Amino acid sequence: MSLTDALRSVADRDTGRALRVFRGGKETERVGFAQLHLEAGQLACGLLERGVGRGERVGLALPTSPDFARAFFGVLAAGAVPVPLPPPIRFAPLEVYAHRIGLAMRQSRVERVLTEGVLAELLGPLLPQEQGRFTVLDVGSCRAGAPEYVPVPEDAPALIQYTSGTSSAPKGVILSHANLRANIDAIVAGLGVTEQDVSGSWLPLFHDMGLIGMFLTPVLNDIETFLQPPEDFLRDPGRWLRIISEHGVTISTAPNSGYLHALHKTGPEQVAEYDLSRWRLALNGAEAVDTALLRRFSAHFAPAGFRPEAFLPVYGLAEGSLAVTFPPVGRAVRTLLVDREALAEGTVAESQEPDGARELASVGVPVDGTELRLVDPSGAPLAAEPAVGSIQIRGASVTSGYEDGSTAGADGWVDTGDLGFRHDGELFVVGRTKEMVIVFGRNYYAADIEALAAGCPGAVPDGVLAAGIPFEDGEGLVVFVETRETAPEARNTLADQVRYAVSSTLGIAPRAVLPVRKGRLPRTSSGKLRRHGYQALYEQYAAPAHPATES
Amino acid sequence: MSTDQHSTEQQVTEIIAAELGIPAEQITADSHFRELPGVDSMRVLQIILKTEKAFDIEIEADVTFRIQTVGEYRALVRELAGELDREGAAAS
Repeated sequence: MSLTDALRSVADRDTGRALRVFRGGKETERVGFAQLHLEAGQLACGLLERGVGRGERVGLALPTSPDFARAFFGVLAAGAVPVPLPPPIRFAPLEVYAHRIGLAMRQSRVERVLTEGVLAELLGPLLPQEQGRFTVLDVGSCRAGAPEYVPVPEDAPALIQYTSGTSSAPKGVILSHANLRANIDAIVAGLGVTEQDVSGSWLPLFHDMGLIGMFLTPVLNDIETFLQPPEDFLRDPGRWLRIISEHGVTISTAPNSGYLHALHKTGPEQVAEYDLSRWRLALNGAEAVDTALLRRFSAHFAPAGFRPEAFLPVYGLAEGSLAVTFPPVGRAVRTLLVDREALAEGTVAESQEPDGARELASVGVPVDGTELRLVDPSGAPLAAEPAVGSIQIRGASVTSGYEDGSTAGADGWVDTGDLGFRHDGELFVVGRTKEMVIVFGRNYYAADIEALAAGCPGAVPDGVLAAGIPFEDGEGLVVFVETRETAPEARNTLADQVRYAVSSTLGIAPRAVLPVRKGRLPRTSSGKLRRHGYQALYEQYAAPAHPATES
Repeated sequence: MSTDQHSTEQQVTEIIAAELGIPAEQITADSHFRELPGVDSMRVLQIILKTEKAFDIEIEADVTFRIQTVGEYRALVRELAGELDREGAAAS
């Protein structure tokens, strides 16, 4: 059964449940699922008339809106494959944005991009300047009268999920209808979702957690689905909490930093106005889970009826569609104190004292249809556990490969690039081997950031290191840049340029850009920059007592 | 520079400086937002939100995709606050 078939089953039930989109804190549009199915078919008809072919990749550059939903299912109904694209970045050159999405579109051989209104006006003149034959289509003007639904086999691609990729080769994960349906079914089973549930989210729809977890899963299970754009949440987290409160949302998801933002921006008098007692599942994923934050959030929102056992630390990644492990629902978050030094050496030693220990939250056990194993650096399953190993997955939800033709893993096991251990059968994630920086729940490849910084005048091209370093309020990006410049003004200019390059291309801000004298960053015996010990490096170069001229 | 213009521009600069935690003197009309320290998407939205509240204006998303410097932003705020006509904003 394809995702289009799944939407038809929901439409056929005709319960009247709907996708409800809020903007600026107000409900702006409500689209019943039966209506959504009809409009997707009409859009498919318009796309087919324009020559969209089976399996063709179609870009979606759309904000959180009913048009996104129409476009996503419309492209699928046409037998084609949606490729969600990120939005432009404010106060940054649009050319940079066009170039960035152009990379992904060329990789996927996208020829048509569905967009709307303002974005159509902005992209219209820009995209044709990128290599490739890109046509910008407005969702509203593509719909034809008679709905059409092109049948596709289950193993056909249903989504291309770009994980990152701005300057290095972009990485598009191919997920089939069968992959997505398996993961959606696993999420429903793992969370014990019923028709009484109500889903509400501000997560972006161009990213797996928002798209699969908070859009496809509720819609295809006939669950009332509230969506609002991420910028509404960033401006005022109260807009999220009010929807949960007023509409009895039972399931909502955010990264750790999202809960922190809501905590910071909500005073006690506001807490008293909310009713969060029906919020039974507050999933926390995409970033390392801060157990202290869970306690603070729970205590702060207790007067609104928020229950600490609603918190569900989860683990997943695009290669596994979305969900990989969930803890059992309805129990308190399971935490474990382990010795930091032992952990750094790959062993697990429970600790009784918080000093020198790290508190970790269990992310539970593999979801239905997904298998998980831990391997050593040679790729062999760990001989003895508990011990830290690389997390590998396989199963019905796991991708078979990428848009560039590469496969995801030998013998079906896909390396996640994450490190973890098992304790009492449950997974604890402790770090990663992939060179990534995670900011606000999104992954950024270190190689991309480094290439951007290395392109700045004055930077030593192979002397740039982008590192994710833990700060009190979560992981932060620190960029070390080797340079021949010694004068403070020249170094400041370099730092400004690096900040500009990173922020205008990726929308994230380095916590620090640290110019370092050429040759001073630690290297391996083969001359490559050493990819660990970032924390010590940061302390060495960021220490205020350390004069910049000596570094 | 009229008093209105001065105070509006100064106020916008102060909003930006306060949100980023940097001295206002570090911010000039030519400063690109994206080269100022700490400018990520959340900070940008907080700056826009605080500007909207301070001047009782609404800053649409699409305009923020088209401008890059603090000077352009200040002119935009003056235009929206009725201090400048459209031509004036575009020319500054």
